[in-house]
Amino acid sequence: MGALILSTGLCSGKTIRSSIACSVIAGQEAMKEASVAAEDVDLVINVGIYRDKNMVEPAMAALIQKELGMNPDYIKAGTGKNAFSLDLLNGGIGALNAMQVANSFLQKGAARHVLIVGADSHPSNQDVKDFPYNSFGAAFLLGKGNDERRGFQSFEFSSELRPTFGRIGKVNTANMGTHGRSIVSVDTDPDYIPASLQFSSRKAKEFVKARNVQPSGSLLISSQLNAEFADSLGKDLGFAGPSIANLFKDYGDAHTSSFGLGYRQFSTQAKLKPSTSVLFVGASPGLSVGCVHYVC
Amino acid sequence: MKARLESIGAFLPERVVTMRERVAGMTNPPPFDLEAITGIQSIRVCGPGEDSLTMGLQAAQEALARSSYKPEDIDIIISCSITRKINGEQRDHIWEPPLSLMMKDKLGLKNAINFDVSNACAGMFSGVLILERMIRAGTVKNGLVVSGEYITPIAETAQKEIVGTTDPQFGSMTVGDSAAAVILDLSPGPGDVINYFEIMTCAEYAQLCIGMPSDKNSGSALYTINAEMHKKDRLLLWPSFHLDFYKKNGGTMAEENFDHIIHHQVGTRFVDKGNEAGSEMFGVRMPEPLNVVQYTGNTSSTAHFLVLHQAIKAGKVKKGQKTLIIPAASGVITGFLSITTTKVGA
Repeated sequence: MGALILSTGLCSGKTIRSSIACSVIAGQEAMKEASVAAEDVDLVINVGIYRDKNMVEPAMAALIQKELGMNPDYIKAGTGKNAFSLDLLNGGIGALNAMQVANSFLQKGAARHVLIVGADSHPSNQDVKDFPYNSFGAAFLLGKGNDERRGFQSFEFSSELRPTFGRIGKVNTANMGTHGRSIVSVDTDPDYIPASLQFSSRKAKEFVKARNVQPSGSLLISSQLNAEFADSLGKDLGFAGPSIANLFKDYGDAHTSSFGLGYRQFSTQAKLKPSTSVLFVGASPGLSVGCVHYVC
Repeated sequence: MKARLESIGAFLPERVVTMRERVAGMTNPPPFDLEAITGIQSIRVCGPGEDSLTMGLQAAQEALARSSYKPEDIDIIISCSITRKINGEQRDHIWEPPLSLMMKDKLGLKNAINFDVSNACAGMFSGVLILERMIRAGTVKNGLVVSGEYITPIAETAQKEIVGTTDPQFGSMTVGDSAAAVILDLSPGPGDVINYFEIMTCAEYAQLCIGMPSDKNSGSALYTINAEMHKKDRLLLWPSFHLDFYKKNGGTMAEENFDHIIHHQVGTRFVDKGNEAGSEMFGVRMPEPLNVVQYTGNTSSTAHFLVLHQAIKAGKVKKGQKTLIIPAASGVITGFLSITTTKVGA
């Protein structure tokens, strides 16, 4: 018996450049779509990595929570309700880790709703040529499930370490000069994407077999490391073309927001019917892979 | 099902810097005595080759050495550092891959899930909360929560940039480097257990403390509006929240008979004020607080667990004793963790 995805929210980084503002808009949309009020959300998990001005404190989640109007001041509110927020960072698969965390809080804990939100923006809030990610905000609003055939069914996370991790995103703070709020380097090995595709495919095949997921009757939402990644992975796993979320052409690599964009796309296409099986596969530097099976 | 603290480790770098030395290094030393105000006499600072990752690994290795679990038995590792610095003197702040992946590899946790959590000085609490809830839900059987904080670069920036007596970087003068790690697993019974753990973010105050690169020098910086952060109203958030918990679940502070209390290590006066706020709200005398701030400074996300580790090492927290731990962090975050420690107790 797993938690349910109640709604999603999106924000286009083409017009809103700030990772915080973009996350707030996506979060508001998800809450509005599910008719869930701010005071009924117990946990906000921000999974966006790259953020405005390279801020490290407080959690971006706290700044997002503030704009969403959740638990501004416990004493002043006087309702006895509260909310908590945190940043969860794991490259492109943090959203999938957050789903597993939220599932624990919702199904066996006291949480009523959990908002997973994020956007990856260049710290300068500008378009920067060498930055591989496009800024899009995405949010999932999750609630309690009560049917064991529905909701999150299983999770699997694997890693295979390479000396250079395939890709490293960092700020060299000793030598950043006075421009540290607007610079970040993302260094990618030439073979990162093919190696990541190969590892993701191998791990997803093991997952699909072990968890009895039927690609022929399921939808695939994956990371979008380049224009071919999702299609190559899907076909390798036996998914039919229309069942693969191909997002790169419209959104580029939206990194942690790819899963929200994909889920929304299938929702818009009316493909998410009761009992529809969805496989999420995330690929990330490390190399790391996350696989999540969800049933609508 | 409940969780317990199965093991604990910590690391302090060898290099000691006194508060007087740190103040003497300021471009514009203040007219007041920072040591007297904070109670901080000395601070530990990373030496060559040390950083968030290396210190976190040292603390995790101690926790694993004291644990009944082998590295391959660990189900999850959560790294909770704010500072995320690797490559020693290069001070590379790493955004991806996560520190937890690097630690997983170095520690040989070949079967562990990994991710990082970042939540200011409540980072380790956030990691412990996630792990405790995942153990209670049966998602994992055990896990390691670790944080290495190479935070003293913000003090270097503050030394150069502070002007006047109310500069927002004064808080940066109090920080010290360290690491802490804990292993949690399923509680065997009421004698060794996390009794309860609640935490919240009062987000109206999220902008009172911002950490980001300086725009005046090449270095990390932290800007805090201390007068607002440490206002009495903020200090009353914890006991108000805790009192409501008692109203809902039964119990009183008087009945609890806590042996110890640990507050965030901002300074000795802050700790005393926290205890006073508790006494005022609960109408009872709070236990004598455990502190290390005098000799470590404010070590940010590791502070409470460093105190617990040092108190166990000093024989102050004995087997079967009950400790109340109170987070306080930018966000603003507060809460309460009630823990009875037997396996790790002295």
